[in-house]
Amino acid sequence: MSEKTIIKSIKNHVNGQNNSWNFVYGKEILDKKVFLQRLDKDKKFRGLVVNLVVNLSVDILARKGEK
Amino acid sequence: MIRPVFDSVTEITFEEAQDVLNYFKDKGVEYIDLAKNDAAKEKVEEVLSENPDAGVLHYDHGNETSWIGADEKAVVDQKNVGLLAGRQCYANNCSSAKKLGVDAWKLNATYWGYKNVFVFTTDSLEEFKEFVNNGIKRRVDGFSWKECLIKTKELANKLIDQLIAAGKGLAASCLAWDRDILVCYNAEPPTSDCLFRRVAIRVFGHGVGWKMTRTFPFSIALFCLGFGIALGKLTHLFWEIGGLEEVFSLQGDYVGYGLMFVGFLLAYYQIWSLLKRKRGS
Repeated sequence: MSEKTIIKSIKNHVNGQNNSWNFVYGKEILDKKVFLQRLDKDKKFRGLVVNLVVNLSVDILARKGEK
Repeated sequence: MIRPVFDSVTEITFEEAQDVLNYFKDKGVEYIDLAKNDAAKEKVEEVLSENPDAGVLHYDHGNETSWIGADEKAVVDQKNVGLLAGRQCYANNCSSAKKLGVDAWKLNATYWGYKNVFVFTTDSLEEFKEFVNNGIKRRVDGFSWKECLIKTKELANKLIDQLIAAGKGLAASCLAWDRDILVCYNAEPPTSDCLFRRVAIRVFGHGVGWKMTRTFPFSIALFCLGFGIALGKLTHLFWEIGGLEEVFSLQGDYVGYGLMFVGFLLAYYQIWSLLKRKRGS
């Protein structure tokens, strides 16, 4: 799966959230709009979010594999 | 309990801290609440100095080297980390386990914290609260720190599965990240990204390996270099006098060099033993 596809899925997921949804990264609070903007423009931030999602997938595979 | 409030994130951590204090109240645990403006450096230092055996909890922003207080300045950092010596520290803040936590652990503190930036989404505040407060609650219940860490990571797995089932994939991703950056020094020793530190830990163990500074490998290198130059010069002199036969015959100088080398090893062994004993005590 390419990074582009992952980003598209993340955007769809965030767009489906209500307007009070925020993403908190340390001191930064990003609402839906800012989150999506950063996802497009900030390469480092995009890498972080993709990494979070990929890590979760690996985690699910690893944990379910243990059972 | 140190819990300042100065932005919307700290409003959330303040409420998380309140949940812990409610639990303390239910279980009859005594505490001092340094909330909002009371969570300033002078007050924190005063309370910690007056209560040398008390555990300490911090719910707010943090960074690799400090805990942030009411005036958005550090209340505990690497300069006054001595205040944490021998204590049970519960740091619900970003990144402080990376350096400050290691410094506190070197002073025989138990340090619960996160070694990177904490992330969460506001659609799952209850789940994140349950996760961040689980360690201290289980500790109050009488579990060891090691058990608290295991139970909290197990709880995180359960919450991640619940969040996925509820369609909150990004919240689940954040929680998986937070679970992975959660550490408890003493339940497990710190790890390092530095190659030399890792070698020192592998060779001398955690107690001594974490105490060594750059001076140690530098002093060893200097000794070996000086010893090699001196021995090389000496054998060259013997070779000039009588060739290889003179070099390989038993010379008093060799005994002297041998004694120096053994003395050097014994001196370092003594230092290593003292450091190891100090860590263990």
